Order: sequence, then C-alpha cells, then structure tokens
Amino acid sequence: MTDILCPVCGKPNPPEAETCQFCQAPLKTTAFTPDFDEESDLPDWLRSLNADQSAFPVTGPAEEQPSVPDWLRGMGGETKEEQPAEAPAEPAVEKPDWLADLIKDESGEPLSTDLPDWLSQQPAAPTAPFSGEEKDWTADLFSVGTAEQPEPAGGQPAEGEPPPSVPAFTFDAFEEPEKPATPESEPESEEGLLSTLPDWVANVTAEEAETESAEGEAELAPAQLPSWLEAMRPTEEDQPSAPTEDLTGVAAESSGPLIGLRGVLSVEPMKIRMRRAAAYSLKLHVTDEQKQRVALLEQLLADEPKPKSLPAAPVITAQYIFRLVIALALLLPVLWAVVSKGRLTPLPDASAVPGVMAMYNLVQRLPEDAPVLVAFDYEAGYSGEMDPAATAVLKHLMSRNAALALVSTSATGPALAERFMANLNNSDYANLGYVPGGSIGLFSLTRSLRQALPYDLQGVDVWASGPLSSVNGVADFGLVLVLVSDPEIARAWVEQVAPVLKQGEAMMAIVASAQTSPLVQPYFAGFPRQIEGLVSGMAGGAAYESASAASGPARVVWDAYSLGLLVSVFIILIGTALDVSYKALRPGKKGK
Amino acid sequence: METGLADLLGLIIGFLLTLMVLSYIIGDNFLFRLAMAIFVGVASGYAAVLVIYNVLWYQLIVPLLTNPMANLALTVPSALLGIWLLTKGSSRLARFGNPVMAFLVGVGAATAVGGAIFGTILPQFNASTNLLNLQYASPNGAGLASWFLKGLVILIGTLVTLAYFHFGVRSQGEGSLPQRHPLIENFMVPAGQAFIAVTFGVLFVGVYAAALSALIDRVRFVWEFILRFL
Amino acid sequence: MKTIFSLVNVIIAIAAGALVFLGYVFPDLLGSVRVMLLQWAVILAAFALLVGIINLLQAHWHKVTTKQPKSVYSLVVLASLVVTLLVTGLSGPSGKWSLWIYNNLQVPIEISLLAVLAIVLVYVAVRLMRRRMTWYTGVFLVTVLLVLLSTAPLYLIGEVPLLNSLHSLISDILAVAGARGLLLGVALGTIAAGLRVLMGADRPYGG
Repeated sequence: MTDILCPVCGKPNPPEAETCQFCQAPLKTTAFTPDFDEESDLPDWLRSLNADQSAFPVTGPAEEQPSVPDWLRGMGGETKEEQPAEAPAEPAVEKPDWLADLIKDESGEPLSTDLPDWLSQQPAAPTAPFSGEEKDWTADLFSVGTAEQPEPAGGQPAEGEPPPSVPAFTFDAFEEPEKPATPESEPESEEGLLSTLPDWVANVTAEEAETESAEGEAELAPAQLPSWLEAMRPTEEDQPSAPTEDLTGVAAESSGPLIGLRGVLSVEPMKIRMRRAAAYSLKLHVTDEQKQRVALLEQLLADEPKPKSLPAAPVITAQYIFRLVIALALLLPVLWAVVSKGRLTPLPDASAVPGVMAMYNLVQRLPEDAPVLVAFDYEAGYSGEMDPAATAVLKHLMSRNAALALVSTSATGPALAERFMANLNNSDYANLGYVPGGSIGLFSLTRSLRQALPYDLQGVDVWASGPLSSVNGVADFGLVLVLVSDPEIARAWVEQVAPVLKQGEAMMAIVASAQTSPLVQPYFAGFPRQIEGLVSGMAGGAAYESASAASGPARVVWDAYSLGLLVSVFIILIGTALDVSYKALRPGKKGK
Repeated sequence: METGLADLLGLIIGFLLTLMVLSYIIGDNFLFRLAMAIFVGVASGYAAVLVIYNVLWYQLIVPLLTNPMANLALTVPSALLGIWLLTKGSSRLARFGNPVMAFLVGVGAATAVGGAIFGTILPQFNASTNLLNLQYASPNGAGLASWFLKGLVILIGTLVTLAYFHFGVRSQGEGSLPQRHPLIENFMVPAGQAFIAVTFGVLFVGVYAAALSALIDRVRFVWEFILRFL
Repeated sequence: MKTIFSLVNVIIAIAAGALVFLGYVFPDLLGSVRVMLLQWAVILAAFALLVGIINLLQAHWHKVTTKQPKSVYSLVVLASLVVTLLVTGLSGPSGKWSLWIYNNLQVPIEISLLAVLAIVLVYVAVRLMRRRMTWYTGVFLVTVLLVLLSTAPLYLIGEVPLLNSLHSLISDILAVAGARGLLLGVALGTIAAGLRVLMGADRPYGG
C-alpha cells in the first residue's frame, strides 16, 4: 500500500495511520472538517473547500480533477504515450545516468535484473499519495518504497557490501506502468507548456499524470517492503500515541477566516483577558550578602591607588650603632683637641711643599700697591678650611699693600668676601660683585673687564679713580688669586683667564680646597706652568703660615686637624678589619 | 647695644641651626629638614637680590640711564632678550623662550670648546711632552735621573689613564662589544685603572680633609658658644 | 610650524657659537662682535638665574596651595625666601642686615653639612672592603691611608721623612699623572659635547 505523506513534515506514514507518527499531525482531512453542516455562514471559498475535502487529500487514488492544472495533467498522459516511444530510444535531451537508470522500459519491468530483490519487487504502479488532481507532483518525487535505486557508479555492489542507500526522493512516476489515458488536449497543452522543459522533466510529469489517472480506476497493490524496512515498521506498541491535544471538545471557530476549524488560535480571543500589566518595582532587590560583597568591592577599589605602607624598618640596627661609634670615635678626640687648645703638633715645613713656596715668592715679588684681583669662588661650607688656608696669603698681600679687587662667579661669593675681609678687619678693598654665567662670565671678564663690572657692590665707579684706575683688563693686574673649592670652577679660571694673563705680566695663583688641589696640581706641575702658585687646603695654609712666620687660624686648629687625621686612619683600619671579619664569620647572610 | 643684641641673637640662631644639622648623625629628622628648608630659602633670596642689584641694575639699567647712546647696543638687546627669557618661568609659555636659550647654549658651548682647546688640551699636552725636555731640568744637572724617571712615570701614567677611557674604540659589528688591541686591553687599561685608583684616593682624602676642617670648625663654634654662657 | 621653530633655534645656536668660536681664530675681525655677544650672554645668564628662582617659588607655592604631604617645609622655604628678599633688598647685598642673615643662617648650615660629611666619609671608607673587595679597591684604600698619614705631621710626633717622601710620590707624581689624564679626558669630552651642540646634533635648549 502506498504510504501517506504527512502534510506537515512530509514523511511517509502507513496508510491506516490517522496521525503522523513523526510529528503527530493529523493525516485525515476529517480532523479539519468543520463541525457543523450549515454552510450558510461560511464564505464561498471555504465552503468549496469543505465540499471538496481537498485541503490535504490523504487517500484515494489520484483522480482526475477538473482543478488540476492542465500542465500537470498533461504531463502524465504524455508520459504514458511517449514512454513506449521513447523507451527504446535515447531521449532527445541527454539525461544523467542516474536518472536514466530510474526510468523503466515500456514494459514496466525492472530496468535491471541485477538490482536487489527489494528494489526489483517494486510495485508496478506507484501509488500517488494524494488523490485527485491536487496531487502535488513533487510529492511523488519524495515517496519512498517504490523508488528505484540508481545503479551504483561501479555497477552492482559486490557481495557483502551494504546496499546503496535509498535516496531521499524517488521518481515514482517513472515506475508507473499504467497511466490513465490523457486527454488529447493534454499532450497539446503539454507541448505548449513543456516545450521548453527538458524531456526528463516532461517524463516525470507525464508519469505522474498517468499515476493519478490510473489510481482512480484500480486499487494499487501494496508495495512489497524489504525485510529490513519491514523490521523498521513500528509495531502496534510503538504506534505513536494519539495527539496530546484532543480537539473534540474544542469549540470550532465561529468567526474569522478560520471559521469552522478546531484547535487554532482564536482570531478574536475571547479567553484572553485584557489586564493591566503587572507593575514591577524599579528598586533593585539586593540581599544582605550582596551588599556585603559590594561593600568589599568598593573598599578594594578605594584602596587600589593607595600605596601599601611598607613595614617600618627597625631604627636601631647593628649598622646604626656602628655608625654612631665611628662618629663618637672621631668627635671625641677632636673635641678634646679643641678644648685643650694645645699646640703640640708642629706646622708643616713650607719648603717641602713646592706650591706654597711658589706662592710665597710670588706675593713677595709683587710691587707695592699692585692691583690684585682676588676671586672668592668657594662655597660658604668650606669656610672652615678655606679661611685658614687663605688668611695667611691675604695677610701677606695686605702686608704688601696690594690693592685688592674682589670678585666672584658664585652668587654667595660677594657676601663671603665681605665676611672674610671683616674677619681680617680690612676695609681697604673694592668688592666688584658677582659675574654671572660661569665660563661665559670669565671669558667676558677677560675681554671687557670694565663693561663686565662697571661698579662695585656699593655702586661706586672704582675704575674712575683710585688704585684700579690703571687697570683696563685682567692682564693689568699684578696677580689674580683664585680662592676655589670646586675643581670645575678652578678649571674654568685656568682655561679662560690664564691664557690672557700670559700675554701680559700678570700671573695666576690658586688657593684651593684639599678636594680640588689634586686636579689643579697638573696646571702647576707642568712646564711651562699655567698657575704660578698653589696652596692646598688647611695643610697648605699652615705651611704658608709657617713660611710667613705669622700666626693664623690654621695654627689654632692644627692640633685638632692632625689628631683628626690620625684617628681617622685608626678608625678605618680597625673598622675595616672588624667589618671584614664579621662578614667572613657570618656567611649565611651573604645573600641578604 | 643693638649690634650686640643682634650678634647675640645671630649666635644663638647659628648655634641652634648647627645642632639641627648635626642631628643628622643620629638620623634623618624633622629638625634637619627644617634647617635645609631655611637654607634653601635664604640662599635663593640672597642670590635673587644680588642678581637684581649687582647685575641688572648696575649693568643694565644704570648704563641705560646715564649714557644711553653709548650703551645702547649692549643694554637694549640684552634687556629685550632677558624679558623674552622670563617666559621660561611659565609652563605654558616656556617654549617661547627656546630661541634665547639656544643663543645662551651656543655661546656657552663655543666658550667651553675654546677654553678646553686653548686652556687645557694644548697646554697640558705641551706640559706632558716637556716632562722629558732637558730645557726644564735642573740647571746643574742634579737629580737628573730622578727628574727623568719622574717625568717618564707622569707621561706613562697620563697615557694609560687616557687609554682607560674608551676614546676611539671601534665596534667590530652589530651586537659585538668594542674590541681593542690586547696590548691596550691587557696592560694599559689595568695600569690606567691603578693610576685612577691612586688619584681617586688622593681626591677622597682631600674631600675628607675639607670635611674634617668643617667638623673642627663646628665643634669649636659649639664649644665656644657653650663657654660663652657658662 | 614646530619644525620651523626648531630649525630657527638650531640656526641661532650655531650662529652664536660660530661667531664666538671664530673670534679665537679671527680676533681682529670678530673681536668686537664676540665681546658684544658675550656681554649679552652674561646679562641673560643673570635672567636665567632669576628664572630658576621663580621656578623654585612656583614649585613650593604649588606644594603649599595643594596641601601636599610635608608641605610645611615648602612653607618654610617660601617664608625664609620672602624675609631674605625683603631684608637684603632693603639693606643691599653688602648691607649689615644682609650679612647678618648670611653669616648667622647660611654659613652655619653649610659648614655643618660639610661637617656631617666627615663622619659619613669615614663610615664609607670602613665599609668599602666589605662591599667591593678588588685589587683597585685595595690600591684605593692603601692610598687613602698613606695620604691621611702624610698630609699633616703626626700628632705629637711631627713629620716623618718616610711619610713625606711617600706623600710626594703619591701626590706629586702618581696623582698628577692620573689627574692630568682625567683633565685631558674631561677636556676632550667637553670638546665633543660642545661640537655636537655647535653642529646641531644636540639640542638641550628644546629645539
């Protein structure tokens, strides 16, 4: 028997089934039959539909219906007529091999004796799943069971190989040997409609029409299903249950386009009550646990930019105590030397210090009232060393009645010069002030002394009269004495000013801090010398005092200075020995 | 009296400031930082007044007022450039002062280069070569050997110290370190290191000696201040 | 536009530097021009110092007004600066009260800072061998000890001829050699840096 194709899912179902075993859709048109006989309320088109019961025709052989399109009707007849003629000959249009295999010969016998049994036992006439002219020709293409398998590409499958799979669709119409006679007009119409279609399509439609007409005349023999397919047939126990929806008690629609139908959505929903939408509160419902988590998150975010406070390092450590011990070891002897005011340590011999003697001789050779430019270019912090170092030299110059002109390339130099001269109780000098720009200022000084320093610190034009009236440039000074604590400033003076002095009779001498003298020494030690005299730090000042046989501030602090140096040696020696021993005895802390 | 009171007050302030700074021996503290803040303010204030008084007033404004025509070429352009340079004090207008800074930097660079060449390079090279110049030896020839040896050591020391710096070292290729002759690398460089170590040792002692002098000065100051009031 | 400004700055720097440097070579031709440029530069250097002090003022003022941590120190800086400006401005740089501020505030602080350095240097020398025990560190330490012993006559002992000879050897020969090499190296570096500026390769003025 021909299976019924489900109108919803299109899958085949047994003919006796009332509902689709796959999707539970009703297969019989009775399900959609209106419940009432009165047709007066139905529109005409619907009334005609009900009368025809052809919304989804499910059974019955294909009947020739007047509403079947001519082109569809004609296809069946043509196929029947043309089949005998075409079968022995090759169709006009080249057909694919698989399609040719599907077409039976005019005798209706199976195309090939090599086909498997289940395929060769196909019914002669495939049953159309739908009756009447409304049968969808494409539905025939999708019928199963009567399909003839195309031959495999390699011929008959070998023994043991699984049979080729059943295609999803078949051309049942090709197998229909008995076709109802088609009206004369059909071939004509068919010719007119199908003249542009390929022959294989025409053959398909023609066989379909034959199938439709043949079914109306005789019942089709049920198909012989292969065993494996039979095994797949659901048993009565597996029969799908009745649809969950029982529409018998459902009222049919009484209005609208779906009038008379049951189980459809109502166009005029009577049971849907219009009701006001539920008002939902906008307030966020937050549980206590969520609040706690939010608070924690806020705290984490707030603490993110804040740097974590480092654990406080211990103030009293071994190194701290060690440093205090060193400080005390140095301070106490110095304090003792200062308090005792002893003069036990002899001053250094000036003859053993070449720079000091050169300076002394230089000053000694100066003419009386010679203009001397003194540059106060050391920082106030070095006053403790430079004051004792330079005092002897300045006193010597003052004893030579030198006309002192003070200048500085440091912003605090003029004040320092004032303080120094006040300590010497000397007011016979001209403080020319500050020359900005470092090397630029010194270079400008050498090129245009009077333009660079037109007035002194009190606003007096010292160049107009007085001892400096004869000075037009730096080369006119008898001596340029530079008091310096910074090696860079010392180098700038030597580089910018010393070459200009060499052009005249002037000379340059430096009183340098002990930290500067090693780097100034090459200027003094070279041949020819760039500086003619060098006094280095407290020791140089003490040596100069020794040379000039004058007591000065260097003598006052000389014992403390000497003791401080000696104590430092012992502190470094003993401290290094202790420190290295401590490190050697504690190797475990090496990585820290 | 006024001077005496001012001097006494100055002594007290100086004493307190000395103790505040020396407290750094115990550790960094509020008093030390307070003393530093006072120092910065006083030094800056004095420098500002000195510059305005000694340089801008007497070298710029007074010449312009007393003899404008003679000093026009100096005062007017420098005054205008100086005012232009003041834009560097504003973060928004700082870039407008770049041309004046460029002028300053150009002049400074040329001055430094000229000084380095004519003030250090040439004279020091001359001095180095003259170390072995008999013209500068002792006239009577006494200690000629020691003089010669001394000159030789200084000359070699100067050369190896210069060799320690990486002047004129070429790279052999991408990714490779500069390579020098083994004579330089194995002998001259370690010798230069030794001379530099000695020089730095002498410099260290010089710095320490200056600092020790300052320490002695402060200890003496504190002691004399205490004695004054005992 | 930015490129044009940058180019103008470079041209100004190179032109000014070239005029000053060529004055060494052609003193008769460019001597007066060089003098004028130098005088301008001296005045501008004074203005540059003022700009630095203005920046210092702004930085500390900003700290105080925005109440940053430890802004009390900035307040002290501003207060002392203003007081010094007033006193020194009224008294003059060499005036009595200006020198009073300088002698009783600035000098004690600066000397005390250097005094603290003495203790720090001794501590550093003690820890030196613990940190870096190499042969040149040993040479450095031995030199330090010898020069410390020979800088001044020993306390209560006086001068020791051996120490004097060692001092002469170290300070007048070895250290001079090393210092001369350092001076030459620094001078060569200065020349290299200066030429880079004069050629426009380095633009520290923001070009």
